[in-house]
Amino acid sequence: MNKLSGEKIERECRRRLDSGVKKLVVNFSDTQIVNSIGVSILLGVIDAAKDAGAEVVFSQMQEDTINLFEMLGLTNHVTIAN
Amino acid sequence: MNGQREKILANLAAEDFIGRSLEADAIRRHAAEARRAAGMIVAAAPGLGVSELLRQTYDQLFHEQGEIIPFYFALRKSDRTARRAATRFLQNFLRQTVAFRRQDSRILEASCDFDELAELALPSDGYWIDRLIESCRTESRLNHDQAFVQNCLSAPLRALSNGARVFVMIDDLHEAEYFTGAVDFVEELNEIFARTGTPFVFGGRRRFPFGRNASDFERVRLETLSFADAGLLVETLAARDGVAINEQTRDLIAVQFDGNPLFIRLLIRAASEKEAALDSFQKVEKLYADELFGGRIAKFYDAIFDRVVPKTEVQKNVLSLLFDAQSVEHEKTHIETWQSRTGLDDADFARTMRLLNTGEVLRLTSNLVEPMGENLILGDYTAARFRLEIVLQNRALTVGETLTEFLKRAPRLMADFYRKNSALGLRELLGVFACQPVPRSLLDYPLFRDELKGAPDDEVLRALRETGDRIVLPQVVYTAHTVAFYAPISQFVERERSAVALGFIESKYTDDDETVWIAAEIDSKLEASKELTEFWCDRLEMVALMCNFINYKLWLVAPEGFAPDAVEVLRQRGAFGASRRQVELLVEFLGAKDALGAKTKANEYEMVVPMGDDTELIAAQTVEEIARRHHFAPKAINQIKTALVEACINAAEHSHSPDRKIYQKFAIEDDRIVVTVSNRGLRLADRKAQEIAPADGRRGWGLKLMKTLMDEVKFEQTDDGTRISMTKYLKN
Repeated sequence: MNKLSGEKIERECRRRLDSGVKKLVVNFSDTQIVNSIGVSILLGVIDAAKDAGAEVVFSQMQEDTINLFEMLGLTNHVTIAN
Repeated sequence: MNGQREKILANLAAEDFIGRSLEADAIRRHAAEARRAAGMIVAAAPGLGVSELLRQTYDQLFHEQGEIIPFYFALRKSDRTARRAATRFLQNFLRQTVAFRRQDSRILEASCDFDELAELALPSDGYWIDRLIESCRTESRLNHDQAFVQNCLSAPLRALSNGARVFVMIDDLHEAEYFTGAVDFVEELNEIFARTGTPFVFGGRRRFPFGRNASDFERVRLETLSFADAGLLVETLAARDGVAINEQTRDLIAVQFDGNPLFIRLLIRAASEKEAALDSFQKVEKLYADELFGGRIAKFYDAIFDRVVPKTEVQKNVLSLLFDAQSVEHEKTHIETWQSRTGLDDADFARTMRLLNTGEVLRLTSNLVEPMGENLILGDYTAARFRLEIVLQNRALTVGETLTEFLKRAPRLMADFYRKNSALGLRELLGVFACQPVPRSLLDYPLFRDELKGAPDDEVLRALRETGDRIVLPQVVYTAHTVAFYAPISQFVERERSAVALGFIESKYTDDDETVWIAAEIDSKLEASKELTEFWCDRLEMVALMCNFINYKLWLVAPEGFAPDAVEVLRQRGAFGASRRQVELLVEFLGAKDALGAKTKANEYEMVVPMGDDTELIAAQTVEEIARRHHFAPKAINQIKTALVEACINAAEHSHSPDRKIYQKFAIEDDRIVVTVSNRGLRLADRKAQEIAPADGRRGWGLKLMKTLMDEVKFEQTDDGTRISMTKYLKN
């Protein structure tokens, strides 16, 4: 996930949050590698969800991506699902 | 040596002083020890940097301000007598002691007389310094040279007896060969310092005898810089002086100057002054020719010749003799021939030859004179002067022809170097044979082929360790390249690729026990054929015949081993045949990697990708493939990929790169991968704050990620951009 794909996800998430969705599931099954821009964007999504009182779920993540998110502290703010 | 410290006596910044860390450590260890045999000799051929090494040591000790007071003194041409040298010795000693104690290096520059120095001395030193000055004044008035010299040279001992520990470094001792007068400066030094427990160093030319106690002293010998260090020196100096070079010319300069730091420095300085680029062989050779016909290199050798052989006619005779000797390879001339042709009387001749030998203009062994064949620069200098001054050839023609010759020679020099570099090092390998039992399969190709060829490394090594089928290598006592025994073999094989070892089969040291191994590396893309093997066995047997070797063993090494009918030839001749892989395993088995020296590793990959369009993913896929091939764990591979992607993003963002390219290098070493990512454009240091941490808050993770994912991360500013080096270790 880089700037381009990250921004696409961000736009979609914000649209859903604006429409009142209370649970966002981000599916990582097609994601090989997440770069730091992608991480920043995901943090933005997590913040926006928190403000809207919504839960964020990351699903179908590769183990390396989970490790990366754990290292950066992202996993404290989201639910990890298979 | 490292750190950005102020230069005191050193000529170079500590970080520009390349390739001498082992020697510097040895000297510093010596300085810290107070042992009975306290002398150390630091010696080298001219231009290899003994003085700079000692000066760097001085600076380091001065800045450390430890218990040891460093004292550096170099003899000078202008000293002329032991008395004058001793006077300067005392002045310098006092000045350096006071400067060190007051932690003020400016005192070294000031021209203080004895009284002023005594005034400046700290109260704790004042007493012995006053007494020292007084006694020297008394001796001076007595006009007794030897007593005066002894008194001056003993100054560090007086300091010692007053509780001050001094580390004495006396440099350029070979200058004493030019002294006149009855007092032998070097012997006085030997006499005074050999009796003390204080550590000291004598520095100078390696062929200078250093006095009667020299054999008791520890000896540090500076050799020419390794190829890698010489290349690094070229790069460092060129970058500092703004001289354009490239990898090809860097290597040419390192090879042509044979790792001599002085000549490398002179060439780069000349290029800098003339604002000349050195980015092609032609430009390097053009400047080198200029240097040889009147530049600094010429002046370096002119100074030696003018000093040792000041009479023009005699100098010409010496040049002629040298030129004749070097024109015929390895020619040795009887010393009588030299004496008659130089026309010098006995005393003058003996002195001249001694000085030429110390200055390494020639090699004097017993009654024979040999040219310094390995010194290309001296050979070129001699040839140039011979043609200009003795043949009286037109200057333009000489310069032009010489330059053409140099240009033709440059690729040959590099080709020889490449061959030498890729040779297995048979001579060095034979040199470590010492009656060890080794698996037969390491010397016997068919056995290796049938049992081990193609098996994984760990399986091969285990089988080798476990096998009981072993043969005992001979006890080798002497090795040389085969050309040294039989010169005509050079028509067929390069010097480094064939060697002879003399030894004993079982260390019984009897006639019957004697053996000779004659080894050669041969070229063959596939398994060596019968014809090729026969050809080589014939050549090596010829060597044995010509050298009267009776009990000998041939050992052929072919890259891919030997074809079945070639194996039969080897069997008939009682010869060993091995593949390159077997020899590499033998090196490992004998623990001889150090003896053979580090070979340049080829495990380096380079890649250039354009910025943008997710090209960093292509780079990431590439590094994944490389890391997998070198057995990195999947988790580590992913970390390397992620860090690389971040480095690429970093390179692309805000660099305003003029070529919009990201340069990547992946170097594999035994235990690590080093990923280097560089780009042209704005350097990290030149970027504005908002370019590093943009206001939208979406960056700033990159650096943290790289540092967390990799074991080591280093950011460097290059002249025109930024370079990030990241290392990941291959952990078990």
